[in-house]
Amino acid sequence: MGQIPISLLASSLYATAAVGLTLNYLVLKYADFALGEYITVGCYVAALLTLSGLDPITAMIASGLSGATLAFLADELALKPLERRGATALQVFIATIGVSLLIRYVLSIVADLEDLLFLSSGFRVVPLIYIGNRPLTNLHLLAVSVLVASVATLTYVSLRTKLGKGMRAVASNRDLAISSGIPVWRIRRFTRLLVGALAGLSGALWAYYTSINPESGWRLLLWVFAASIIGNFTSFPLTLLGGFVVGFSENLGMWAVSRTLGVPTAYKPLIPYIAIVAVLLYRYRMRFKGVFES
Amino acid sequence: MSLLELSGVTAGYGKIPIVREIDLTVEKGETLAVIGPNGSGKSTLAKTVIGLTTLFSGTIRFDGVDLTPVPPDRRALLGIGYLPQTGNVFPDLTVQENLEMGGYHLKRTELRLKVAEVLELFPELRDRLNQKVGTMSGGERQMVAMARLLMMSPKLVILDEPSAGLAPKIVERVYQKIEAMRGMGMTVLLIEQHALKALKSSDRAVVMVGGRIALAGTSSEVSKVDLRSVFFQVSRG
Repeated sequence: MGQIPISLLASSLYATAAVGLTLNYLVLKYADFALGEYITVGCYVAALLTLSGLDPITAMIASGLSGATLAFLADELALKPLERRGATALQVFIATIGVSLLIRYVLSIVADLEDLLFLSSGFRVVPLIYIGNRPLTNLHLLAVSVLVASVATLTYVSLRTKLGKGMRAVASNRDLAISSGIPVWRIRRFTRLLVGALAGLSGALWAYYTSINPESGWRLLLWVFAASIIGNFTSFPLTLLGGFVVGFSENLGMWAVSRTLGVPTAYKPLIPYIAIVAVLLYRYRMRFKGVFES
Repeated sequence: MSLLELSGVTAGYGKIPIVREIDLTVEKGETLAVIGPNGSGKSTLAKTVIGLTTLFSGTIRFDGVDLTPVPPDRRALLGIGYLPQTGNVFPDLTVQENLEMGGYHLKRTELRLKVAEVLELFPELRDRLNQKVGTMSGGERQMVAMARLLMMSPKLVILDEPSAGLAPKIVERVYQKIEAMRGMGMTVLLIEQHALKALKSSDRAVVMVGGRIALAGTSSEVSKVDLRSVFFQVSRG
């Protein structure tokens, strides 16, 4: 029972970023490896602003904005020009690795120069109630609220607004969207802002939870990818579920395995790998079901 | 002045040209049929007008505007409506949303009026507005696709094999809608494999073989030619 609060926090954090990753893939047709860096920037913005005395919610909004700006600039300056020159989705995906490395090393240099290689935010964790011997804090509540608000906003935008419907149209049939006069480039910019904002928000949550460094987002990326892979990069409900599967299995699940089989909890990074391999194997089996049997 | 004018157009995908040296005009209010066997470049020609291929040489003018520097999404706003052979709907969107995407550039009130106007021509869609298009039959999807096209109020309608893969009864309905478009004075570029059907519903026709125009004339002139021999001789030659 005591593992539930931390599972809830981790799940909300992974799911928030993973929804952005899935959205990016759905509309733009490539997975963005630089997402980890948008998270890291979100971490630093939230940590620095709360340390300077700003309230955590405003700092979190600033984190979302910084993630959105970075995702937007990465696309405008590096990825979109590549696509305009005829790069395939795979080539753009590889380019995102380059973008990721560039941002990470620039961040590392700046953090080193400013003595910010390891940083803790000014967020004050306040226990609200106790589950077992573990407290459910204001941070857990904030993480779940951010996820719920993000999903509600995204749902409203995609179902009720013109830009959101355009976004779904581009995801559904890009060529037809182009030939129908839908402004695909404007929709692309809007999508990138949303993706970056979600990453920035999850970065802020991470900064409030633990100490950060220039590799914080990069290290979270595996968990975020695992959640999106469970969602097949196409389904938002399954991506959300993926976030919770990964978050709960690495905490609650690992704790149970540790208690029953004596496996050290240090092995918990294995959980996303197992999730990814299991999902890919399952999908492979389903796709070729009957082919090998006959 | 012709509504659409292609001169010396060579275009294709990547570095491979598919259609070569195409000279073609479509006059305002007429229906031009483009017929030819499979792989003759008919669909590539349509995509070239829309801007979805690589233009290697030649010029395309629409309503007096040089289309070469105009990106594909802007071409639609100039008044070119395109119905692709496959993937001509947004399957994950409802009928209502598909129509709205056709009128993306319209303001809210204009959009509502336009939807009502288009539904006059497609009354069968009225009860299905909230249905996801991906769950509809091929014929129903084709109706949604044509309705979406009309939402754009296009000056030129490019229909790429609108009857492909449909049951004869549905083909009849599709052609009724095409007749209705002609009746509304729209200019239609009709790309078809079913030559007789297309010739019946058009004013002029061109026959494409091997990426080139092999024959051109009024529809009645072309219908008197033995098209099988044209297809065979040119493709062998």
